[in-house]
Amino acid sequence: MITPRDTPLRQALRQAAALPEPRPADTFWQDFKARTALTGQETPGRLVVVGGSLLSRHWVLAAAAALVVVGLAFALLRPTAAPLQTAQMQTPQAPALSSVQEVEVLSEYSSVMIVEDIENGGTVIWVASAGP
Amino acid sequence: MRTLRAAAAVLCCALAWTTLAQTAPESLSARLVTASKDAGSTDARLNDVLPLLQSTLSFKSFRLDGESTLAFREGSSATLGKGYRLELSQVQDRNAMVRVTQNDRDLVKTRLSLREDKPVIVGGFDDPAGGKTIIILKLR
Repeated sequence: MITPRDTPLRQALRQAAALPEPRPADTFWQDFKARTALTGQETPGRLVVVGGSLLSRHWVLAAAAALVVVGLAFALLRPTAAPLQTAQMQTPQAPALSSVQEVEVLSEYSSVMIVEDIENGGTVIWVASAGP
Repeated sequence: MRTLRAAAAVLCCALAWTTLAQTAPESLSARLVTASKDAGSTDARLNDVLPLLQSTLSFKSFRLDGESTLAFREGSSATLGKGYRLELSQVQDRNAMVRVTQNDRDLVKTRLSLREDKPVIVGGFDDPAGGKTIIILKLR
């Protein structure tokens, strides 16, 4: 019986050029290792270091952590420039104006007024003179 | 370990920068203005405070007569023109005692708690040529 793999052509070819004997596994790997030893291999460490020390993973992580901390500090410490207005707020909050803690008028005057203009963000000390 | 050391170094630099930025010396801008009930043009250098002036004071025009910038620290002083002079004392954080004099005559002493870009107007002093003299203080 002739199998599909055992055709006359295949038999004729094998007779014309016989296959070499397979090498023993030990001999093959010994030769392979000897050849690889002749060529420099990339080490894992060299593959990781990209871009020098300044852009190393340590510095990138450190800078990211510092940015997060500074961002949080700014977000927590920064004074709000304008009062927060939401639908739930019924009473307006006073914005951060400059304030007058004490006034002493040393010239002749009739009255002193202190006005806080929340809308325009300013404070006025008005000394009305005693004259006509 | 290297990551921790690097993080500590970067964090120290960032915090130092933040601290320096917050405690950096500030300056106080002082402008001498004559307010008049007569119609006239207003100096463009007063545009930042014009809405405040017009909403709180019943004058039609405002003329800038002098401008100066003081370091916001103890003992700073500035001469503004027309004999007006400012002196700072008891400066602490953003608080200061401001003394206004004219020709060495005390006019007003006021203790202010200032905030950046939130002006304080001290005024009402008679101007010999008519109108009222006001001083605009603004922390920067």
